[in-house]
Amino acid sequence: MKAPMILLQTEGFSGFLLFGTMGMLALAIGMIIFIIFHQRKVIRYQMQLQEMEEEQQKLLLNASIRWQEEERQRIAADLHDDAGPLLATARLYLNENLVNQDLNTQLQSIYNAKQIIDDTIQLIRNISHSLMPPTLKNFGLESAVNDLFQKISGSGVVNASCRFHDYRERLRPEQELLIFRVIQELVNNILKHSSASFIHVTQNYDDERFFIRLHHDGKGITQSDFEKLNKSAAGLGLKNIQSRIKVLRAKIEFEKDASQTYFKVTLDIPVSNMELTT
Amino acid sequence: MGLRVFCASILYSLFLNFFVLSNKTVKQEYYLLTLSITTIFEFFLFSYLFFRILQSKQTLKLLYLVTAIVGVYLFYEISTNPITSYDPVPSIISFLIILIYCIIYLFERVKDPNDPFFYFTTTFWVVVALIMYCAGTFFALMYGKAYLQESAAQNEYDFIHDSLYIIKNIILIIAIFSSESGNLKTGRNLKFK
Repeated sequence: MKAPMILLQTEGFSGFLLFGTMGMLALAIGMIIFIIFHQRKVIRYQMQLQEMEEEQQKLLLNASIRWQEEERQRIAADLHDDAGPLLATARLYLNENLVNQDLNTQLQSIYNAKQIIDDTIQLIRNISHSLMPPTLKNFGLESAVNDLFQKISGSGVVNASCRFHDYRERLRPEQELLIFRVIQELVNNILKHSSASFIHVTQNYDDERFFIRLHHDGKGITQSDFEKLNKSAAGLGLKNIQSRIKVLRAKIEFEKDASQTYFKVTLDIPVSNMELTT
Repeated sequence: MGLRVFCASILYSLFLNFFVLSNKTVKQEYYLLTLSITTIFEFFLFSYLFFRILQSKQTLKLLYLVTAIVGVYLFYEISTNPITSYDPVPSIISFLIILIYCIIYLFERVKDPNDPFFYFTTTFWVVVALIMYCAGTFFALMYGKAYLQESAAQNEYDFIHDSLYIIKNIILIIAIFSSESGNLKTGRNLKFK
């Protein structure tokens, strides 16, 4: 009687042990398979993210190249259509001197040529100023923005104003130029698309960060619109803003004010980190 | 690191088998004592592996504490228990602690976004081998004591133990052929922010 009992016990133990061990092994294998599959999912997700980032970089680069080309075309057109004919006319007047020996006519043509050369000098100065505003170079961002806004207000259509609260020390020239270009592009977009009646810019400095806030009462965009436009092929100006923001290592935020009456754009630029990305 | 630890474990096993257990003159009680010493040796050896591969300082502090407490318990057990009987509780506790260390390691690696290819590394496969071995033999250790007198049960236990030993060694072969860095192995260099 004892022998079958032992056998029964042993068989019971055998099944129990095998079942238990299999259970533990199944748990361990399940855990390892879960980890491997989870990691593969993470890798796939991260690779997608990287691809998206590369795509975004490509878009920004294309936008930057297109912008450069457009700028070159504009300068070429200015030189070809304005400076070229002016200088050709001046040359005609000077040629006239060689042909016509009458002193009064000669003086008149020299005077005309001088007038035309003056106009050409002014034209070239304008082109040069559009490339690098002299106010920005000599007096800094505050004066350049003031200058820009005075010109806009002068038109009488839009009331543009700015107030720099804490700008005792100038930023680096490259930073100033980049910020100025971003403001210029934003203002340009507002004038073109928003039908705003006022634009107001404020500047603050807080905890090693430089803030520029731009308000307007026209039709604006929110952060999601900005991101959507940035990912699409359209919106060259916004892509230029994005690439400049990236170089500055700054942040930009488009939002509608809580009062729902105006739109706000905030530029948050780190000042302690003076290194610009290339 | 993981392979070196397993090498040390294998060398210890070789030494034990060739010079101690194969010696007919060694009495049964010393055989049981050797098993207890092996438990302590393996516990500290595998704990050392986790001290080296875990990165979180807080987790490491906890591990030092737990290892010290369990170490003291194991030494207390070996010094107070009679050497004529085998007590599986210290083995169960040490296996359980090592299993927990393995889970902590895997959790830490899964949380780290900088090396998503960690499952290609030697260390990962060494830990997998350890998990399989500890998880597989854990149940047998826990319920084995009452039945170890029966030769059929002993055979069953040996069958489970030896099968897991083979599985462990197969996984260690995978570990040998894995690289230390997952990124090198896959030829990828993903950097995530």
